[in-house]
Amino acid sequence: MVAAEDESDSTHLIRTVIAALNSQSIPDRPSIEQTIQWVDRHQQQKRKNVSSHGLNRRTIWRVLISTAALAVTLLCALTFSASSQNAFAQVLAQIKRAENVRFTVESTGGAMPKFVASATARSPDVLRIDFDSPDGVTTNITNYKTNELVSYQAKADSAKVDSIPHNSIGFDIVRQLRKLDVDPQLIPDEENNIEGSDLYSFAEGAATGRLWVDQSSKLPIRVETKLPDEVGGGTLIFRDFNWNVEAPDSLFEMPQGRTVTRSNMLAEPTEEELVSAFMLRNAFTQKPYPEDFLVGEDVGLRLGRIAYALGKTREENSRIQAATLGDHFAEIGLSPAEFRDADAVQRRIDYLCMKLDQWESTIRRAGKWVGGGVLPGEPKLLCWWRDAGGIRVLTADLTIQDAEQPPSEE
Amino acid sequence: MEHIRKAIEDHGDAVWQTAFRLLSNEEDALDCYQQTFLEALQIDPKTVRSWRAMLSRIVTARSIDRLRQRYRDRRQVSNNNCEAFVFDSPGQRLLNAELIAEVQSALTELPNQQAEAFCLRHLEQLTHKEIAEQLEIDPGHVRVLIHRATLGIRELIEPDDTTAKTTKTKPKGD
Repeated sequence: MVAAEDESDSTHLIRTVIAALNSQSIPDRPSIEQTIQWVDRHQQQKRKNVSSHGLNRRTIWRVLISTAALAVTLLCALTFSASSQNAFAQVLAQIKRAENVRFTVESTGGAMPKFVASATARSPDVLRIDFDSPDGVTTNITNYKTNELVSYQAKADSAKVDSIPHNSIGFDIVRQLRKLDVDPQLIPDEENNIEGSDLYSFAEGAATGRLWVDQSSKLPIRVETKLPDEVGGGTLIFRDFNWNVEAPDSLFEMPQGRTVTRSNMLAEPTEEELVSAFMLRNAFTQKPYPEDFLVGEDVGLRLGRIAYALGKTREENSRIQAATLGDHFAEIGLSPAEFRDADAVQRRIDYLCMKLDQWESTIRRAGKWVGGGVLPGEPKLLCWWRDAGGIRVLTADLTIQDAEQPPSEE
Repeated sequence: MEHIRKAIEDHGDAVWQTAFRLLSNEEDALDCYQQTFLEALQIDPKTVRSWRAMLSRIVTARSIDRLRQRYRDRRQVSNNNCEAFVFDSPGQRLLNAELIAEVQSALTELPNQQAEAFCLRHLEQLTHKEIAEQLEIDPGHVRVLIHRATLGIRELIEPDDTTAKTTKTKPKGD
């Protein structure tokens, strides 16, 4: 009897629940053509991202920033665990003596897609990395002296040159290791699974890593760095090191005859660009800022959604953008001529979305977003961050000022 | 692409309705709707026995993922969502809106397979056999999952109902 009542209650509950869910008024769905276009566009974009850069720009940015942060972490961790200095001093000396080093980089997924790529470093100045992609080999050459990243596909006749942040590290593990000037702590042999090597480990907060050194040559043979979960996690494995190889200068130069496009997409984002990104958002909506406006890895994509409705065609979006940004185009960094060009407007929007992504990582690492619920135009705090000059504060009237100390969150 | 076009033509409506009914938010529904067809594109069409069942499984799974993210992030269901509900009286409308929010929250508390099996059976009206094929489990296990999901939802949305389980505990796993 109790079981029957129970069954009856459950049936009633299910009916009630399903009736409630079904009672919602469902808006029109996107048309079949729109859906096909999205799927097609996504496929094209996916191919384009892989083929033109090896990794897309958002991923590259995360690599530049997160591994740079990891390098600092590694340095700090090692500073505090200097217990076998003489042994590791020899390793560092050998690393610094090496001119050209060939190695393999493997990503296990997480913050980055899974890939295996071959790299040659002429540390500390330049790194070449070749990614295998469905469209053939894509080469990235990072020049740390000029702070430029050159990307080109073997089959294509074009190349892209991106400015990159000063002091970025990327995949150059040799450059990272060269910066060490103290010893890590040696891990006992029973935990080391590579014969003839010494194993060192490091850990700081969420970031961890391991480094194997060949006992006879005193050179690294394998490095594993685990990226912190807050940047998406995953492990980068550097292996198959070939120290002191011959590498002609041409290996680190872009082949002649390519059409070059220059971009600041990966460059350090400026405060003006941060303000422009907020102005872009505010041109489309004057609602209070959401709690998560500048939180999470997809802030740029979310801004992009505000400025480009996925449920509308490209032409409709262009019309809306033209109408909405008519009084604001200069604020978001467009010239009158650019504003008349729908493609240029969309490119600028994409650019500011990318910059907002970059600012999110800056604020996540060195500050805080507190602007949830604040209305645009109010003289209230949105976020703050530390830079080389001290603490900077952005308020909702879109002014940026210095502050003596991190503001209270009230 | 031709098979995806056909899938969109034949099942686009159903996919959209499932996403919106589970999420009550047009933007989230749009994301899951798109993601469903993008995922479907990666699947070899020769291996698909039932497009309807397969798309139902994908959109349900992605919608539950999205719900989990929403509740994990402690994001509030947008006030705008109330506009999506059409009821006779304001009181009834409010009650249903609350119930929907509770059900959505409860689904995020259930183990994944339970939540998916419950939605596929009761929202999508798939047979136990179809669900078993999609989740790659035994049909008998499907019944168990749905039963546990139902009990779990009862516990989670009727914590004060003395005829139901009285403690609001995490539902039993698989």
